[in-house]
Amino acid sequence: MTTSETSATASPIEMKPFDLRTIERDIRELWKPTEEMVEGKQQANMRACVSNLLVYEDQVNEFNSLSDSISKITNYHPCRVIVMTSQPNAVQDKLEASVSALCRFSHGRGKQICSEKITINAEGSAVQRLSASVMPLFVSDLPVTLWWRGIPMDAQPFQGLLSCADRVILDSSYSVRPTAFLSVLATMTRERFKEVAFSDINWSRLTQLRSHIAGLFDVPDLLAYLRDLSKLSIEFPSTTADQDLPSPQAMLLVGWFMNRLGWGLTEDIMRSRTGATILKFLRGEREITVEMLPSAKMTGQDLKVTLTMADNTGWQEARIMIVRNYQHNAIETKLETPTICWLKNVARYEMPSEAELILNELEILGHDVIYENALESAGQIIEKM
Amino acid sequence: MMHPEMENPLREEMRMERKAPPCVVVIFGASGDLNKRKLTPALYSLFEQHLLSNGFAMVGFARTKMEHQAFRDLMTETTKEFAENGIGDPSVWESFVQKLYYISGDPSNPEAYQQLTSLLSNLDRELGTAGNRVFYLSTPPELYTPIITQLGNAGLNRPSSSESWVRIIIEKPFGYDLPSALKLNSHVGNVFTEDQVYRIDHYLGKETVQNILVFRFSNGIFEPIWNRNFIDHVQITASESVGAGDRVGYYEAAGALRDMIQNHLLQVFSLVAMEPPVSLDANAIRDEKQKVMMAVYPFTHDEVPRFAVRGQYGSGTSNGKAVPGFREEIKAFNLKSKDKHYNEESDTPTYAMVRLMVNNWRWAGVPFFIRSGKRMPKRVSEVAIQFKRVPHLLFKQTKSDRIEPNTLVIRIQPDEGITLKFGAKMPGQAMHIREVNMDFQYGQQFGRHSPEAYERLLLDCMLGDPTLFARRDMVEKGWELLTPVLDVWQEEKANFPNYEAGSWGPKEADDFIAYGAPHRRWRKP
Repeated sequence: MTTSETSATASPIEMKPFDLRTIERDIRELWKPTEEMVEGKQQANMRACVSNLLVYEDQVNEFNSLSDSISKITNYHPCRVIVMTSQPNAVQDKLEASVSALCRFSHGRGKQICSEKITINAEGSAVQRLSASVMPLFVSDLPVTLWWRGIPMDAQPFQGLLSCADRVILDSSYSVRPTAFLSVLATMTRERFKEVAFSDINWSRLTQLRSHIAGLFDVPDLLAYLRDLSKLSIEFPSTTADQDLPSPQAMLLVGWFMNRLGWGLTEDIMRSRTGATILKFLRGEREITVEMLPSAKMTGQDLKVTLTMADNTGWQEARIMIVRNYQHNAIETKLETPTICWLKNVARYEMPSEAELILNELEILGHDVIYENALESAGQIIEKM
Repeated sequence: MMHPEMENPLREEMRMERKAPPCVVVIFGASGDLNKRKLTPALYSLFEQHLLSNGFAMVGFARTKMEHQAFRDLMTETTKEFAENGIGDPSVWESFVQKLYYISGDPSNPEAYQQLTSLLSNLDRELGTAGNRVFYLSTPPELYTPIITQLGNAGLNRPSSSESWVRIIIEKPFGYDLPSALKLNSHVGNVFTEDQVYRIDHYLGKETVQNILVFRFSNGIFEPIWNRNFIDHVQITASESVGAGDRVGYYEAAGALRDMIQNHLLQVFSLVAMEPPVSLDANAIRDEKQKVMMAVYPFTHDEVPRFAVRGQYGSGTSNGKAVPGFREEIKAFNLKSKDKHYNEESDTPTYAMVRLMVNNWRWAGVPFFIRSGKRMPKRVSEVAIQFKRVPHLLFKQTKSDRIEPNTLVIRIQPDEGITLKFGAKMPGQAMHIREVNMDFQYGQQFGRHSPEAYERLLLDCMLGDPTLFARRDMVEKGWELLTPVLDVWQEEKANFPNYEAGSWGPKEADDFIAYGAPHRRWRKP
């Protein structure tokens, strides 16, 4: 499915000084039928809108990839998209806007389904006025989702936009200091719980892997082993960021296990010479060791999770190794237990694109409690690190 | 229900899709068309989407002699051919195909079931299938009874522990008429309890059919007008553009009433007409469906002409081509066939229409017209709710104005969606009114893939959710209601053919709907 972008006047999409009446007029122009439509030679476009999607981008050079993602999103989730770009350090103050339609043909039946896109560019001190400027542009009675594609979260326009959003989507992988980012996000999620729901598309990247891990324990024999989990090891690609501190995905995964399995964090935290972070947890009297290890051999979204389970005697040991192999688009599972003898299983895994991840998020309207609990647990671990 | 301590703490999750628990699916008739075209591709699609447990296996059971590997090779070939996206990633298929096993045997022979019992025990031990079984009867109906008997004799009808379960899926037809349905149900009931029995009607697996419930009970604006005060009548249509073609044998025995109305369309009718259930529990929904079936006026044999119309297509035009009538198709079949010959003066209806009257407070006086036919102008299934006209028309009507009552159309296939037709003023000084449609189409609003009906229903069965399966009482009630029609049509010679291929059915049906209510006419979807 390809999406075309057109302006109200069929001329190139041009930025005009920001003016509400002009924007509203341009939106009306978008939906005026053409002569061909009036004469019945062409089917009328169908406007569809199920939500307001605010997108903030602070890297102007990322704009093309953003436009691609937005086109894909509106294919499946027709909405009013308000894209905001900003250059706070520009010398001149400028606030300008353009209006366009994102249309796609519906399964070859000649009818076009269209979403509206309003692009706003703020420069200099006009950046401070962004949040107040976009508010009148929302389609009323529809949820407002803010997709924040920026880094700083402590100043305008983030704080201003936060107050008008029902849901905020961030990506912790953007952060140069991911652990600090997760910590701030955990606090913000807790403190603003009643007003807004947060989500992190880095958590969404883990969904298939988590689902796969959970699925292993649907088998009753293995579920019994889960209670005897003694070691969890997570290997992730090492990066120069954050001095090999655990990646956000590794942290969120540990937070998920900690919360779902009722582990209590001990004070026992250490860093090994290999850069591994080693934590100790307690569940009842059972001690669980968690190791998060950066690996120079891994790239992209590779992740390796090893679960070791041993009963009190240490005799009935089981090991499950789950590898998310980014290059081979596969989740490979190796299992060694005394009772179940299948050894290796390969499931297809396709790392979702950014647009697909956002679409997943747009399906959730309220709080994702499992995520929020995992984030809270990750925040507790970070505090002690 | 698993003990809470035995529940998987990692499973509870809004983002994770419903995933089947460990189990073995045993398919009887595994070398048949349904398995090749639908069942194995559906199971593979579930596997690809990570919706099957790691403790999953499928056992094919059929007469054809084959080893496990030959069955795997056969399924590889047929899935490549019939699955929507083939087998996709070969390494994933390889993981799936290793979970397929095969037993060849006579379905009436106890020895085959001993082999099956032994294989299932091994799979429990080796793959962790946890003693859970789904038996799928994908065989000709005459084999249902021997298979069910042998499953019972082998003790395979009972779970092996308090935490495991056994379920059986039975494909339609659930009988040929009321006596045969009662007999089949009674036999099934001797071996399986009703909560183990899943009578599959793939129509109920369609997304739009499920959406009827959501549409009715999650939107506050429609339910208050969903009654005799506002609705004039309801039309439920399932038309096909194709003729009986190569399936004349099956069709000659079934006819339109048995083929579509007794099962699929009565299910759709019950969803449209039922009262709100007290919960979304499967039995709460099925109780309401059954209650509305109980409220349908049971017309007698003498009353059949006032409640039903039949038809059979003659030659005509379909898709721009001249096509033969049903009887000519039978003649052509007989010429080709060496062993089977069918009646060339057949009175089998290829078109059937019934009027159901629901005697309850909500629907008293509102007719439900249900029709199905072959060789109609196009393939479409829909429910059209025709609202009453406004009590007093304020606007002067000119010849060019068409002021029709509002219609709400729920389209089941193709182009699944919902349309509301209403009147609007045409722009200009004069007060001219035109009908306009407000359209919602699944494919447009949600560009996402809807699961195939069999995927949905197989997963529901593995999860123990019988909501979308037909319950015994409803199947029997359906046959009971239609028995007078079947009897009368069997006894009385028809004046066939009475509609042209490519038309919307016999003239009798047009006269029927307008009788006593000239404003009513069939929709041409």
